[in-house]
Amino acid sequence: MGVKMNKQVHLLLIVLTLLLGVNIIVGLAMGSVSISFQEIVQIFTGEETEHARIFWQIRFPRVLGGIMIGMYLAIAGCILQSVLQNPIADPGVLGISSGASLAAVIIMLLFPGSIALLIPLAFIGGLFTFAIVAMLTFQNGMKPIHVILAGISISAIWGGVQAILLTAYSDRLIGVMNWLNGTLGNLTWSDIRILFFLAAPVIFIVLLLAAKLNLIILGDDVMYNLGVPIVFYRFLFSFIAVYFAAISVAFTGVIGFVGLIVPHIGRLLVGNNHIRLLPVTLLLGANLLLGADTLARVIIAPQEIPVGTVMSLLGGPFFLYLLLRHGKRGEL
Amino acid sequence: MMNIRHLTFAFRGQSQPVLHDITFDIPRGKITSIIGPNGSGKSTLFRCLTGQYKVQKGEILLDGKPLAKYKNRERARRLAMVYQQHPQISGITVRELVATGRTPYSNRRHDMAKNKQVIDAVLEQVDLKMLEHQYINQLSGGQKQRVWIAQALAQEPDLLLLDEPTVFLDIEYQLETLKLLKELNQEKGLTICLILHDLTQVMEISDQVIALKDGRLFTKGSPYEVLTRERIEELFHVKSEILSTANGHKLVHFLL
Repeated sequence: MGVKMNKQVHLLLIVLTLLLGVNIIVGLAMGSVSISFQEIVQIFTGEETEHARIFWQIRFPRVLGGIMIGMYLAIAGCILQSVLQNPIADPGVLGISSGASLAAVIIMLLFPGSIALLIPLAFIGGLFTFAIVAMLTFQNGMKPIHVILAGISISAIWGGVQAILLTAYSDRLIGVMNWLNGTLGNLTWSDIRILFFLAAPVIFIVLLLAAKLNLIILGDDVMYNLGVPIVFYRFLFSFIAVYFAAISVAFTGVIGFVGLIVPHIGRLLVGNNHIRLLPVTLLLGANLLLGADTLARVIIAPQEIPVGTVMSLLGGPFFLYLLLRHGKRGEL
Repeated sequence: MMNIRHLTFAFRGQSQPVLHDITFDIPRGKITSIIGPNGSGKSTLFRCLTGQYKVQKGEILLDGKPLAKYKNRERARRLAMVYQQHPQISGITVRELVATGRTPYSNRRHDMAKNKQVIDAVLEQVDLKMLEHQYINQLSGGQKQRVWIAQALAQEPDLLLLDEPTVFLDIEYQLETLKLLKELNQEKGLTICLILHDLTQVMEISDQVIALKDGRLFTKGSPYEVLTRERIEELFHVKSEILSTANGHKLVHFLL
């Protein structure tokens, strides 16, 4: 779509970037151990302060991870909502996250020596679940309510299998339980590098293809009329969305609702044109997850709760609101 | 322009064809209307003409070449469609939507100027220049219809196919849409083929009328040849009379 970023959108992007800057500083400073702004500056200038080790080994990768995972989950939700033309689609609601999670649990508990397979198998688990949901609902035109019900049902089944595995292998649960609830606290520098190199180039590809996402929301007839290969783009974007969701789950467990909330706020702010919506979604996603993670660390400090729990508390009511709103309009 | 030869079409898994042995031409520079009662196969024929439904027997030729042999982009540069129902989209401006009509063309830097020029010209043509930055969901029904026609025109097609472009519109917007199509035909020489329900509108706008009944070609010819009292009764099972106005226009009056 021949669109220019107008001044308001530029301004919004600047505001969101500044907000992200604030979020980063707060995220670096706050937690079970507080690090002052002055000390952060000292650490960045290379001084070995009291908390330098915590800062470099724990806090900093965690904040970077929060930015990336927030972006990946938000963009996955945005793409799924457009591809499925479903306002309440999200990797969690569709069961993609639980499929990826089950695959990850199988690797972690049953084949801990094959941890390299974690990401590819999480991707296959997510993709397999998405394919089941799509097949179950295809005949009814993939109506939003059918897709949600199918996603919830499949999630329940995967959850059951996962519970059996967790009980059967309860001696191997160290680290897994924390991961299961969705946390950014386990991220290492090595994870950050993998997260960046595996997904950042795909973000770039999605941004280049933003105009094609605009065509997808116009529907199959219009895409056909314009000579666009409909099936190819539907598959491509679905793969990309599942890929982002699976990568996120593989490293941080299931963190729900980021992909649901963020694109909605993005659409309210800049409309449906993905050339504007995608950059806004990326920045909003990073801000939301980073903010939620900081909240997770300070609510009952010095203890922390998993960020997945914070997102559930924020996202659950939002999901209900969307159900009521779209239900009233007869869009489900 | 387009030649339809012995077109027969059945939906997958059904032995009984929906369309049987239909043959007619859509002549270049003319307006062809397709009429028929509900269930006569008009919309199915429309989707065969667009190439979305693959015909089992017969062929559809676009400028002598089978439609099925056209590549997607090449077809989209020759043939543009306006569908009966439009997607409910919000947060996209008029200009942005019309610009999608340039999708079949290259989007490289040196083509951008040409694309912009076409979009500007089309927006002027359909009288939407003033509303180009307005969101589509803020427009009236008639304005929305013009946006979708503008998108099709931005494809610079030789043939424009429209499936009931006046349905769901108030009478004011129906006439506005038909007037626009007539202008496009007369001033730009655009070939148009459309499905219409209102027989007076068919009489007013068409050069040729194709009448379908039970999936077969019932009759074809000029509006005056096709829209006679006897044929209308046979086709729609209603009684009517054809009236002439003082300025020579004909209209179909139905008798209750």
